[in-house]
Amino acid sequence: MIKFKIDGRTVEGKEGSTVLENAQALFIDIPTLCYHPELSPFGACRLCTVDVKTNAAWHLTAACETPIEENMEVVTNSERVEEARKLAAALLYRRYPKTKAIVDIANKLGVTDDEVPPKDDERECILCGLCVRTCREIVGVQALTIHDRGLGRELEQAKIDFKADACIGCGSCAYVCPTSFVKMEDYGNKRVIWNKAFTMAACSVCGRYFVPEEQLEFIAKKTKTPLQDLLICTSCR
Amino acid sequence: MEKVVFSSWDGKIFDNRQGTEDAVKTELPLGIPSPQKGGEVAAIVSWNGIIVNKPQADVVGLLIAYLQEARKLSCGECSVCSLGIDEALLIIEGIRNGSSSSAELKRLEGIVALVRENAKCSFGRVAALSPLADALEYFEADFTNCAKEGGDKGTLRYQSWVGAPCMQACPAGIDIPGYLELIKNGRFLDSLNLVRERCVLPGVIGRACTNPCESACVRGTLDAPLAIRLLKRYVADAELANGGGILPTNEAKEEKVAIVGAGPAGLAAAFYLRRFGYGVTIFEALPKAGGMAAFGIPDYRLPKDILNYEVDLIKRMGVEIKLNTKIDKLDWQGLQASGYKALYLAVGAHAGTKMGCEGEDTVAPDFVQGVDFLRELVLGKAVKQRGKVAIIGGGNVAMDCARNCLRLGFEEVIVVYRRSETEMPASSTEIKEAKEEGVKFEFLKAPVKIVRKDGKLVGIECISMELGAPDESGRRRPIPIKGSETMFAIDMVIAATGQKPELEFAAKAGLAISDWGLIKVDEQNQVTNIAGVFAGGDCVTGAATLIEALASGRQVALAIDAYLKGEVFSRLPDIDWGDARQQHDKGFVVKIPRQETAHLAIEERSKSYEEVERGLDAAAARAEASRCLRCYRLVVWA
Repeated sequence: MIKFKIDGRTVEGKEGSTVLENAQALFIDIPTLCYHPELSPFGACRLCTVDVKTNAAWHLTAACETPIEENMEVVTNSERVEEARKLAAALLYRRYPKTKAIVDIANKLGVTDDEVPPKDDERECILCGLCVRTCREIVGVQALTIHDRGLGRELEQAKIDFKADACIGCGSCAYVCPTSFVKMEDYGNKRVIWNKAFTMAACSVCGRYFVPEEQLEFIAKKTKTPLQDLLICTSCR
Repeated sequence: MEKVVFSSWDGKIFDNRQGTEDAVKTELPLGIPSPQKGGEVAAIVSWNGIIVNKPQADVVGLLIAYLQEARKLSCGECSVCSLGIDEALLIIEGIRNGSSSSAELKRLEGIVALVRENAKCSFGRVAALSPLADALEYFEADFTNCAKEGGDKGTLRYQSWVGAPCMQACPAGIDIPGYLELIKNGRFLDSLNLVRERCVLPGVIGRACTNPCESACVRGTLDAPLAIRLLKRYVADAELANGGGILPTNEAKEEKVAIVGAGPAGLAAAFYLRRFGYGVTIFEALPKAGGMAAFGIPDYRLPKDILNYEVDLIKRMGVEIKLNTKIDKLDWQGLQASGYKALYLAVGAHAGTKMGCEGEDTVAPDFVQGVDFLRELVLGKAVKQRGKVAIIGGGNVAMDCARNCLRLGFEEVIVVYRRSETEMPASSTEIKEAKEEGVKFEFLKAPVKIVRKDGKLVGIECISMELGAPDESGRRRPIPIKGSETMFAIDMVIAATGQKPELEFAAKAGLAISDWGLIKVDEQNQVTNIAGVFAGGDCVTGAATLIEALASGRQVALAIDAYLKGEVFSRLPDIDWGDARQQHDKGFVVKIPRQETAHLAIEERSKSYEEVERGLDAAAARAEASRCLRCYRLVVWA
């Protein structure tokens, strides 16, 4: 166990755990957006900013990515920390003023900005990377990757790349997307997600179309379960 | 630029804009060319400060240029840096065209401070918005004037430079943070293609490079340098494992170029020239292409299928490689008559140098030059000697010979080096692996006489050395201790004290050769004293590294392209922008240990030529690549 201080309190935490995990266990409220407890941290939104001191100096850092260290001091509620979070939220709000998840966090952190550039888009990709990490770490395929800007890459804006032949249509990305940018639509025996169409399989008991065939094939192969055994929807199982 | 009007370079402030102080000579980047023809540089905006040379410089315009370039480097993963740059651009562009008041700048202060401390990577923290801090503090008047004047001031003509400590150290200028980031995001083929922009033998380099980049890596001062070389190897191997790829070319051009030597320099030139569309023919004396990579680096370091694959890729682009074709006599007129419009000499340095030891002129199977020994092994020649072998020298060639001898079954392998271990030029990995395998070392000894009995080599007499003051190489000079000669009973001696080019083929052609026995070329465009004849690689520099040869090949391809188009080749100047390792990094960086590669068990090694270094797997490669801090540094000037 590692001894460290958070908001003046001396506490103990497990080796390898992050500041955010410990704060949440202690019911200390730290805002998050691109964080998910089941996924590796990404540090994109910078909303979980805290102030930490390990040697001599204090540093602002993302709590989700910072492992606790022996004798580390953490401050989650100073004016400096709140200003940093508010500013990060304000930058996001100016870019995505109609996106609900962003509006909510901006309101929560006290962002007041009347001079936001006009925008119509409600469902934007905020590059939080939740879909990419979910697809890779939970589902285990690599249908989504981040395409960053960089030297010689001449991308106007970073974006998420979709690889159609790797996608099994499970919809986990749509489930985690905080802005509903990832759209999944089911029409009868068809599902469309990321502009790829899937044929759905029907439950052998109730006949409801409940899962893409490709997803079933993937699970059958991965778990070495016969396909027939998987053709029962969750309600009938 | 010696006398300036304002400087905040390196955090030291010098402000003479009111003209009250005497202009001060400061240690500033020198030799910066101006983008305005015939003009002087007016101002510089960089990660390390702002410098103003001419009082009427358009600093606001240059700040916009900086932000526009910074935007291209801001990956987009963390919101504060990319959105912060866009916000800064919006505000400052508004001020420049008069649509915003300079009061808007107040909003930038908080953003600049936030990004400098809390961006996700080193580029964000150190470079993205850092000159704005100085701009907000010292250039308020410029902003106010801009806002008052308003109107369309047009776009400023400027030049930019992007580097990183690792990129500065790499002789080929590979975009290292770029290819590491692509690996981190699982885009292995994209990463490989990015490497190929500067280095055409990534599989070879990923195993045999001296990796000066790793010595420069900023993480070296924090936990451990990035395994940049192993990551390059990973993506090269990944392509081969996935069935290989194709290298694209452009529309075919009429002109043909001839290259002598299919080593790394020749292959690199061939690749880039062929990609431009030119016809390329390489004349190679030996039965295989690859130069030192093929005939100098043993299989346990560089399996031949990797090199063969990379050479094959180049051949499939349409490059003609004529093997077993030695050019005995350089006949440029003859080649021109055959239609070649340019010639690149890349013959390397394949002749072993003398040791200064009595008896070394007697050529025999039991006394060979290291480079000849290695080459003949590759050509399949059997080595009949066994017993005790002494290898004279301390470089990688000596290590390659020693470890080969172990695998051949010599009873005892001794490396004799005239300085101590600290001064050995061989890579530390090579020395470590050689020791692990059982190679013995005799330091501070040099051979003075080869002893033969009835024509057979029976021993070498060595004199002991002590280290004196440093010589031109910076290493302490070995000084013989009088009367300290000792005899070593030895069955074979391999000399590996240096290599030089064999240039007899050019003797009658009038090619200018230096006193050091190297081909003389123009520093800018690598042309020799004969128009249309270029040279590069080891035959120009003396025995150097693979990556330097690859860099030379690329430079010459650009120079030849300009020459064939009738243009003047203007190579990007080597501006000394100071140590890009200057961090001023206010961020909190978590220590993460480096991913290590497995090695073949020591007992297995000396029995075979199987590759000793096993490489990283996909998960380890991605984890290691994620450690990269993205230390891009940016400079713009006008």
